[in-house]
Amino acid sequence: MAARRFADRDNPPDLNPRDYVSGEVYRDAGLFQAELDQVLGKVWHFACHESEIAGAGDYRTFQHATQPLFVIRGEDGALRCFFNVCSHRGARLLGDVAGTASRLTCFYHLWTYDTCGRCVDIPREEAYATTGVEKSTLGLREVRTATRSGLVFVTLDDAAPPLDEFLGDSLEIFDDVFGDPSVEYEVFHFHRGTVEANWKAWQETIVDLYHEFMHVVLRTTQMTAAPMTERDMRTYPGGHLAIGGLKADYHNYKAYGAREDSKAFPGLTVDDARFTPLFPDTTIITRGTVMRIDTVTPIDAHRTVVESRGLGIKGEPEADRRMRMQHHNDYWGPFGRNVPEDAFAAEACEKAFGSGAARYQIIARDEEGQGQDDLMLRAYYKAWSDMTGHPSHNPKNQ
Amino acid sequence: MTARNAESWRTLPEIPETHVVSGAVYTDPTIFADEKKRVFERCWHLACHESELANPFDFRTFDYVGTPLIAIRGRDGVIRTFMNVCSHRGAKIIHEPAGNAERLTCFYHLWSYDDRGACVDIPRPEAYQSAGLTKDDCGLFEIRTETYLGLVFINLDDQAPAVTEYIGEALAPFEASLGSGELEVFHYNRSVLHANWKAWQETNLDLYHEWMHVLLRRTQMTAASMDNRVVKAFKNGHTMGGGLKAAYDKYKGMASRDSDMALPGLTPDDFFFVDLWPNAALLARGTAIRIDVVTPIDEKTMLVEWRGLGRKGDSPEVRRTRMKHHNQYWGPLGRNVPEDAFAAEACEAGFRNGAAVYQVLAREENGKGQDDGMMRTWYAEWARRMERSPADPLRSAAAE
Repeated sequence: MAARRFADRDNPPDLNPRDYVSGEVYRDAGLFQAELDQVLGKVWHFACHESEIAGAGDYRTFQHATQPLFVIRGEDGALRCFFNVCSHRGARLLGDVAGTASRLTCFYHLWTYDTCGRCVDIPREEAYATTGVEKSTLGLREVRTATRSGLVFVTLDDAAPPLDEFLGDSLEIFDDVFGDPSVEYEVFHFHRGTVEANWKAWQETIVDLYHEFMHVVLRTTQMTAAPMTERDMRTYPGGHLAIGGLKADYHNYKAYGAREDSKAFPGLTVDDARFTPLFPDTTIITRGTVMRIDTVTPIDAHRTVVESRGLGIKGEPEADRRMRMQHHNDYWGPFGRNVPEDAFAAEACEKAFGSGAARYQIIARDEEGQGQDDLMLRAYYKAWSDMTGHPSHNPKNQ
Repeated sequence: MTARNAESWRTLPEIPETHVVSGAVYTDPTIFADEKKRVFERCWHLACHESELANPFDFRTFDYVGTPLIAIRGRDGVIRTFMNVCSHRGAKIIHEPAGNAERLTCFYHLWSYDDRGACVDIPRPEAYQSAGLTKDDCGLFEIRTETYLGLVFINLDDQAPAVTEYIGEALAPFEASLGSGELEVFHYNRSVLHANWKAWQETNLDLYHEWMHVLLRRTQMTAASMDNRVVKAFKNGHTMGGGLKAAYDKYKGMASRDSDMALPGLTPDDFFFVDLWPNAALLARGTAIRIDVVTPIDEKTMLVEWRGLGRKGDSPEVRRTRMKHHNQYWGPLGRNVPEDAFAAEACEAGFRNGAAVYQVLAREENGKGQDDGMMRTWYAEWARRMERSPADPLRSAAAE
């Protein structure tokens, strides 16, 4: 038992390559570009929940794979997604995070589009007559959009397989939650923050079960509530993951009360916890009475926007909504216990990986798919390696 | 005699190549990347004074050109330095600047390390059996650490010669004071300056700029003849400026200093300084010692750390007076330090986007007065380590 020589930090761990990850995946500019092109540019990306754009003309803006996008419900009721870019001079069209509009007018020269992406007005259009520029060729760039269980997804790849094929069975642990036609969900909470870390470091805080020791509310409510052997980790084609079998004893944390079974979502008891990390950037988590959806969006290799949504039941009494908001915020609000702790963790890893000081991380835990097995991290990086074409243990082939 | 046009502004003056430094040494990112490898990953770096780690388990954390480090005094009294990075998932372990801890525990998964850098605890370790991973494989990475005259030095190069060999005779003027074992750090502050790191070091090498400092104009330039000054060069680029005196009573509000407050080996009006290549300076003014260390963050940003040292066991009155002596010149609101920060950032403003093309280090006064010899020695060592000419650093790189 001793410290190691500094010069030895370049040596890969003496482990099976699947059991460690090179720090280059967090910092190398070429790998980041490969992620944009081969991963984020190809997958279906969760954009928002359809309750956020319930009425005609409701829109939300966001970035995905560094591209400015917006989703909007058209006058015809259909959901569409477009590049948030004017066809004229490339200006960003919509500046707000969310809003409602029957016409989308660029502030710069007042070119105007309708909710279906058609260019419907060009001021003093006659000056384009000699050059052959006409509205009919100047629609917005549309991005493929599809929904499943109220979740709105988009893909930048016009040739991507359909959403249902992309998701496969990965949402099966939510079949009962989403399967009751009498229950509709809606978003009651949205926040976003910039984390000074690589985007995968955030996703790891979700995929990594072993770090529950870090979270005081998980130490007190989760690790005590059910045996490690009842945990049920699953992996799906494409890198999607799921875990069930987690329980929570909320009354073990001072100031948390017991939760009423009647308030649980369909198919759940109040003490259930389940989550599904969809590859590569979205996670759906439920804790009996409330649901969280997380999305990570890289700004560059070292900065990430994390968007977090909380969901309850549409039309529920105000008291129930207040209860769900409290349950959500205790863990997951911007001042809840878990989310800031995870942000601290991601940024602590960036401090050593961002500069290249740390060379490798270890993902070698084997508990036969239960407990705090690292198999979800390994499956995540297996999918990453397959899609980028760069093995995550040695992505620069050194 | 006229102002210059675009071409003549960019043409190097017809003086020896050793007397000119190109602005590219401050601004070019490839030169900075090279400095990390050839300078900062090879040379001894002054990390702290041993009085800052007085007791077992006292630690200090710091970032050294992108590498988070922690220096800690072990239970055996030995000061060691480790990468402040968990062997598991790469998280920075200790986030406080200083403290005392028997165990270094990563908050993320609670892996723990002891004062020798050994991994001593992994929660639920049985899950690593099938992969063949044990605590023995997971020690922290240790950085070479050596103490000389109470100064704690680190080196990222496991093959570098010993610190005493690196420093050679350069710290001889501080042997009586720092070597007495009687000194301790009473002041620490640090600041980010928006300039290349070398611009700070130059403020401690350049004797000619004393006119800029009102205190030096009054107290130093009047106190002793320019001919009494001595500028020395040592191997490995270290330098010394000495033979300076101070007449403190020449500045309103300041007074002559009592000889009974002088530190070992110093008289109250002495002033001399040693620059350790590449990035440290030790300055002695009779009753107080200042230590500067500059660490680059990137080519246009640096962190400067300032320490003040006095005698252990000073009475509260004496310590207050010593702190006053220190702070009048060297405190964050003292006269000299902010003026030097302004100078370094002013040069950055000229060089950053290429408006300034080169600087001139051509003063020769036979090693006395305001000779630029210390700066030329510094850049000669830079040239040797970097294998680039400071006058034309990109030409040399292109030729490789």
